[in-house]
Amino acid sequence: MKELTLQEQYVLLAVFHMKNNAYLLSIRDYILEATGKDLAIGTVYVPLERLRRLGYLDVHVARPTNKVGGRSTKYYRLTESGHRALTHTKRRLDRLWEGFSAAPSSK
Amino acid sequence: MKPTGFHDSIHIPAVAGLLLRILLPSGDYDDLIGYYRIGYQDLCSTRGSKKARIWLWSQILRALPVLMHMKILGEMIMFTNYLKTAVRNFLRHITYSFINVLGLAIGFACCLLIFFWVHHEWSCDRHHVQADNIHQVVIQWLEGDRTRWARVTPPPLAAALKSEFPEIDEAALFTTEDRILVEHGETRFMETIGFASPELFSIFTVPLRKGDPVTALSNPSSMIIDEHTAGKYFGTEDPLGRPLVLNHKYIFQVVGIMRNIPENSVIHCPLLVPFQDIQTLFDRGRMDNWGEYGFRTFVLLRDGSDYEAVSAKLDRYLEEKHEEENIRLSLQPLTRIHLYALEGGGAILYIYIFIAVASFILFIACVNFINLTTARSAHRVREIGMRKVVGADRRQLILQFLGESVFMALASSILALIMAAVLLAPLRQLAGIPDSRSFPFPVIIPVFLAVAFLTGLLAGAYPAFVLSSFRPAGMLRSRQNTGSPFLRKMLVVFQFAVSISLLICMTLISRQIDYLSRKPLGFEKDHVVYFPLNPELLNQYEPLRHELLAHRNVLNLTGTSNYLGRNPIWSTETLDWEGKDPNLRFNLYMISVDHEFADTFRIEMAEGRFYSREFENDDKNFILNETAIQDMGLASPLGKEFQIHGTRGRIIGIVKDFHFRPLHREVQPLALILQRDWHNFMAIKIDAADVPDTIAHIEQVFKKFSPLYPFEYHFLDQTLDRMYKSESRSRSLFQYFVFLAGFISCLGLFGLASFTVEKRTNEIGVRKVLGASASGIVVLLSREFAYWVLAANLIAWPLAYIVIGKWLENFAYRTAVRVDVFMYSSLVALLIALITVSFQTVKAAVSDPIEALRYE
Repeated sequence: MKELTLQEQYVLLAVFHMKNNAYLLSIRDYILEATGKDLAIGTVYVPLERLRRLGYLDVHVARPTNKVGGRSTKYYRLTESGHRALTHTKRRLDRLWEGFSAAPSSK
Repeated sequence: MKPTGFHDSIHIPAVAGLLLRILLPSGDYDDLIGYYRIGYQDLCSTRGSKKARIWLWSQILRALPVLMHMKILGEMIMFTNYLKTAVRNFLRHITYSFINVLGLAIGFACCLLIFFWVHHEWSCDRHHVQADNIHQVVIQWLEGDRTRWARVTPPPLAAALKSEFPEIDEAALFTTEDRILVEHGETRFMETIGFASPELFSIFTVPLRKGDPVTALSNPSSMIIDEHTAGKYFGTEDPLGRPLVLNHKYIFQVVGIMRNIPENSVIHCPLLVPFQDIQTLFDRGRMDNWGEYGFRTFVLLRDGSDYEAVSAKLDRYLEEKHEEENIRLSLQPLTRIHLYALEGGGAILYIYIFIAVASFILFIACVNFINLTTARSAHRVREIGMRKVVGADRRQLILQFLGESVFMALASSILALIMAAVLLAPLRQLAGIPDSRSFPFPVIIPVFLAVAFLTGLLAGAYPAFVLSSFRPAGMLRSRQNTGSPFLRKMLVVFQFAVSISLLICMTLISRQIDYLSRKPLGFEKDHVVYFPLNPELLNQYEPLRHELLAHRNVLNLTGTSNYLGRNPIWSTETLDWEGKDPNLRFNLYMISVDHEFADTFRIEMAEGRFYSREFENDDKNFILNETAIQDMGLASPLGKEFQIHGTRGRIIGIVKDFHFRPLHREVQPLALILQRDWHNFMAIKIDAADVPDTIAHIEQVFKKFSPLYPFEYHFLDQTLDRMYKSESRSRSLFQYFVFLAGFISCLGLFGLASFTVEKRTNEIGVRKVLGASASGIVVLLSREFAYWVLAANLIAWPLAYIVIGKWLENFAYRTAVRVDVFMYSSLVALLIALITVSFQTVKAAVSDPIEALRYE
């Protein structure tokens, strides 16, 4: 399984948390709130599309609503394989982070 | 950031908008641009437009690397797809594609080669740094009622012009003498030597490898030689300071080595010596002799002066200063000397003709390419429909088709470059372009690629813009009409017009050359050998004659001032005869002869007798030609007193006119004079049998009397043939171009025929079902094409008539421009056209109607 970059992890996790309301702007705002990282619109779009092509994300185009200025909007949803990829990454990272404490342990 | 509402009045700045348009993927463009717009509009209304703009640009710039990366990756994927489709299409219709690419490539190659030739002719003498300010002084005078021109001036003119006209910065004298014996030890050659005043180096750009250009031509008996000559005489040794002996008598010292002067330059010479030395060698060119017209004068005009104004000031100079009332001066720019003959016409005519031909061929080739590509795109309507159905947008389709045809055009241009490179050597041979001139790639390649690119764009324009706009449903279902048939027909008519007129021109040029070579010259040129006489031979003239005549195959011989066919070097207006009208200006050419001249060349007498050794004082008499007598207006000329340069004599004979000059001019008045001092050549009539033995005999006698000079001989008929070299060259060049233009036109017709047949498949099917015969259908289809080709004649005939008429004006004696040449050419074109078309029509006619009607 392909290793996810940090940015991809952010994007996938944001989609996961946004549930049915994950579109470009909301994903971007979520990442900003959760991590303090202000990603550019294009910088979010590119990994989103890449992940979609990898099959980690599903897309459905919603009818125009008032929310985004009366246009159709591209909504993203985590697929099963996307979920698997996240799980896989988490498991590996957990093992690495295990036993790590915020304060230095040895003096 | 939260969306707060719509601010339709606020738009993203144009530059940023354009950048986003390019960067964002077209599929999600609407979605994405919306986010940018919302962000921008929100900031605008809450924090001001300046902040909003900063935000927008930071958005764009921060995402720039990733967006570009994605963009390029995406294009690559599409590009491979397009490439695949293009290659598949190319292979599926391989004949078509091949014809298409080949036709364009041939056209391009042809143009490249013509350009090379034109560039060569045109660039003659333009390499001099001050070329634009260099002019040659030319003279004009009235001969009878005709104006005559020449590029000769008296020696003191140069210095006088320089001191008297402020516009003239510098003036130089120059002339060449050929057939001078040059010796270095045992190495001997006959050379052409240039005589020039020192100013030559301040006017022309003649780079010296060694030596000082300022002093080089100032000291008598010094000499500058070119690199080639240096190698010839001194090998690898340093020639500076070494002596060379001229005419076995005069010792010159090499003081400089110059780069080889290009052969078509007006100052071309392998050896250059100070002008004053011409007095030592030939006892002519005295610097105070205003009456000796035999030297070239070049002037360098001050920057910014108008040559026509200076030319006008010079006009009456000789009349005012030296009471030479008939001779007027003017200037000819250096860059025009090679191209423009003084009396009009010249090489420039060929340049114009060939540029026209090249443009025609290029035009035909491009039009065909566009035509064929457009016609072929009809096959691809379904592909376009399919692409649209699976979601290709119009922009992509446009790019695909334009890209494909541009790619094809560029492929053609590469093929053309290869062809041109291969054909360059034969062209050099044919057109006489020296190896030293290389192909001007930096000039031509950008233009050439631009033309190819543009052709590609035009060819792709129709499928790209028109076909891509059709609705997919219709496209998948039926055949579409493509292109404007009228325009396309006109293009084919035009192509054939050009091809037919080229064919007519070529035929008439061939006829003219045949005519010239067959025209009775009034003397026999066959089996005449001539060689140049030198001082050693002239000193022992009588013994030489006798020994030469001793061989049984030497039939007759005569010394002469110039061999026949070459312009005579002597002419005079200082004439008088009984009853001469004092106002009559009369120019008489003169050739020196021996008593046997008439017999050697089998020239017939009209009246009286030729010179004969049986008469004591024949050298006091004169023999004239018929034209001279006629122009002089003498009623009974025999026995009349005649005077040339004060030498009195009587007219004892009149020879029938013979063409002693090239056939470009009609026969002029001529006197044959028994004057051995003028002899330059020995002309020998030999028997046709055992020529090598006879030549060996001549050489042996030559060597006996003149051990120093190299023996060189020529056959008169070959020399005369060479005089029409430029005509023969243009004939061969024309033959190639006619073939090419015809070939390319046929390609165009072929493409058009297949297109028409394709479109009428259903009609042909129905006709066959209703009982039409195959031959009937062939006739039906061919008739239309025949009309076009016939219509092409309406343009071709007048065009060819005008062009060939202009060309024939170069000759005093012309072949008749007969209508049958025109008819034959048209007939040939028609036949070729029908044969070309038949490939398609026959195929259509014999095909099974079921195939044609299957989709109805």
